[in-house]
Amino acid sequence: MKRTSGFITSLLLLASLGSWAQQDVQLTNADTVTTKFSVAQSEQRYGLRVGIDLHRLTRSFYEDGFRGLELVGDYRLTKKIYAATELGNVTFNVQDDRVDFTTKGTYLKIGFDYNAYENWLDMNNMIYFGVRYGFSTFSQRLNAYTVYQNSDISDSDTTDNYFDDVTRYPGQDYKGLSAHWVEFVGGMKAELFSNIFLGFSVRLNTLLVNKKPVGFDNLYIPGFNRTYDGSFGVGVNYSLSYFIPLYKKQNKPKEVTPKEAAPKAKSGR
Amino acid sequence: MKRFIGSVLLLVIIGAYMISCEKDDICAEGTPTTPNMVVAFYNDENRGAYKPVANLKYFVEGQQDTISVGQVDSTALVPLRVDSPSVKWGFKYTHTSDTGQKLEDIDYIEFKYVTRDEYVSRACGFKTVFTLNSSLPGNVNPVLTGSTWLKDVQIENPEILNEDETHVRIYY
Repeated sequence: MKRTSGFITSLLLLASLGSWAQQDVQLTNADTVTTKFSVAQSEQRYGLRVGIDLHRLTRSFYEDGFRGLELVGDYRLTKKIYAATELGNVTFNVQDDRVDFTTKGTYLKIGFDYNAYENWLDMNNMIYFGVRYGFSTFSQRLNAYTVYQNSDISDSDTTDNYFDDVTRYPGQDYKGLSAHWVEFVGGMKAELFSNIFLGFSVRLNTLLVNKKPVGFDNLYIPGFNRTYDGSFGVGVNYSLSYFIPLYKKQNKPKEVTPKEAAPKAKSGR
Repeated sequence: MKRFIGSVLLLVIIGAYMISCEKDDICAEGTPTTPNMVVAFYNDENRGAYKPVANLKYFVEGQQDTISVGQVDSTALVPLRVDSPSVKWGFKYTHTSDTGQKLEDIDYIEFKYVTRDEYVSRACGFKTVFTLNSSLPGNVNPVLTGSTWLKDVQIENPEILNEDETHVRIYY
């Protein structure tokens, strides 16, 4: 179920990219005709982009035990650098073979994105790399666990443990937990319609501080995700966001004279 | 443009992989989980000397499953119940009498203890460790019932945290 929906989301994203690519091709044709003019006139839009993570939103519907919401936002600082943030809240009931626990908490990530993609004209698409500082406060509730017994003594007539499995239901709350981490982000954002962006990002996290409960562990941290698959945590988001244009900046208008513009357009753009 | 599509494709593939794969780890062999009680058999006439037992079999009173130790050994691993403060094991000793008759002697020992659960890891979950109750006058622990072959039981180390040391001495 999880795998299928992830795949479908990927397909949807690919489909949307297809339409984006076509848009680009059309602009290429137009560009060859009016290169000088467009470079001289190209404007960069600055503003605030706010949105929601579709991955956590849809997961809340299809996966029992998961309820999560993540708001995303970024603000353009310079031509290539954006201040970026994610704010989220997650309630996640994990039912493993051995332990059943519920993690509840809020997280905030703040950092920067660097847009490595050279846009045509005044487009605002991004292929970016970024870094975040992440912080989460949360609680864990240990719902149940099955004691790991080791009573399969060699040479015995039985092939299993001598005693039956014993599951306990402590319902113990571990409150006031927190974690800090650093997150490396790679992603893209494409303008589907005017001011509407669809984004996708993957994240690698590494914990800086992890305040664990006495007698248990933080197996899942809101915003960070699983803590047990090696030293890095991983995450993704698919964001749908709206761009609120605040002001426009001419793209180096003084430097661009018709003579300079032509070779520049050939090499860079 | 090609490079752009390529990098986007790569991102999508990495992302799809990340959400779909879930590592299924199992509790590694050798991880200290719920320990068994280590009992050692000593010579009742010469209390400092081990006395290996041949054909030792043991079972929880009222249960069919029997643990049999193949080799002749002076120690045995005895599991304790994690869901009960006591367990009564029957120890069966098979031997041949002087007249060539095959004899089966069974004596029971009840062990009383308190349990404590400790977190190990995600794959192993929790383990239970035990502390044997002190033997008090009027509330002896362990309790030896019958003495067809077993003579005495003494606690050597009440804290059952691992299987590295002897917890109980049985004299016969």
